[in-house]
Amino acid sequence: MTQPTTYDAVLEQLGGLRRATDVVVATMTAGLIWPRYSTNDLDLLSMAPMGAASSVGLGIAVGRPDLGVIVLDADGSLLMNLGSLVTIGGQKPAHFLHVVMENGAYGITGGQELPGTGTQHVPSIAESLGYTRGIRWSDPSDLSAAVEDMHAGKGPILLAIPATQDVDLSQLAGYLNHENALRAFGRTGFENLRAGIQASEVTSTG
Amino acid sequence: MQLAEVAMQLIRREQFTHMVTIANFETEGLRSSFAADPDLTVIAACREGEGVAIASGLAAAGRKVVLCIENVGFFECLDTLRALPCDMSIPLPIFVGYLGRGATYDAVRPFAGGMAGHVSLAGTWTEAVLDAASIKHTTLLPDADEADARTTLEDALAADEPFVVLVDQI
Repeated sequence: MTQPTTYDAVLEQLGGLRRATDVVVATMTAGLIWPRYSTNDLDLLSMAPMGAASSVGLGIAVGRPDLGVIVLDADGSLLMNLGSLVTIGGQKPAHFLHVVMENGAYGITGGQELPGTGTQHVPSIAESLGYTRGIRWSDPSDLSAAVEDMHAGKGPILLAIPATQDVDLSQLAGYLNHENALRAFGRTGFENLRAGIQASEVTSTG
Repeated sequence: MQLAEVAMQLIRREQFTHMVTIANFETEGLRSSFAADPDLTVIAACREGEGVAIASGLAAAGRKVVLCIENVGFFECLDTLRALPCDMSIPLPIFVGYLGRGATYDAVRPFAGGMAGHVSLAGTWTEAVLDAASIKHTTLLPDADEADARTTLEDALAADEPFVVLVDQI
């Protein structure tokens, strides 16, 4: 069985793989940590409502199919919007990577367990709903390959990554007030993202 | 001229690009007209909150979007409306089917059976909830004068925030 990795390890790696023209929509714990690894104006930290990140990402991917879109989702969040898998699978955005961080709990609200068996079968469910690939992470090369395939227009791809929660919620204010977070949260983040997308030259969708 | 025709004229004039919709009876005429235009794109979502989030993403990508739902679904998506288009001032005309407008339990029970109480409740809650959420709204009835309807729709399509148009049928 795959040993869980950490959010920091995954997001640091993604920070190196992400192109400047890729949009990243990050939510919940990943949204708190992502600003450590990115200063890009095409970031949106989507903390409310819980579960909406994948759908916001889909809208961006449909509206600008030439841009890469990476959604940093979480297992608890995904369960609040599981129907989004159906819609994304139906729309088939080619440059769309859906990363689902799995810690088996609602980390942001104190670690309550997910209902049922959580999201352990989500990669196969995603494939059955129209994602081109659903992958369960086994080592860092899976993330590299998924990002590469997303850039090559082989999406939508879902990559589920078992990861331990490594955010100290007693330090929440520190995360939220991080310089890189302030420009990507809420209305400011949305306006920066919209301006950044508008400034990105439309290219062939390839 | 039918309301849907007036709406489509203005939607094309204002260069809207996408409709996000969740299946409903009341806005079906507008949805089918939108879908029939090869320059416009309809995205069907599974649930209203999901649809609002997709519409918000499209707006972030620089697209102009209308949303079509019914009022019982409007209740479902209030948190998403609050957190995305309302808090972030995203322009979003929303056509909301007014299920249960003026209905009473006794009047609709013979036709709606077990749905009767539900239908009546939706009519009672709709404008009260919109007012509580400070969401701009207006009601557009099928027999509306065309000039009035045009003005109402122009206001909704030009708003720089969510603007709900309640419709019996369009």
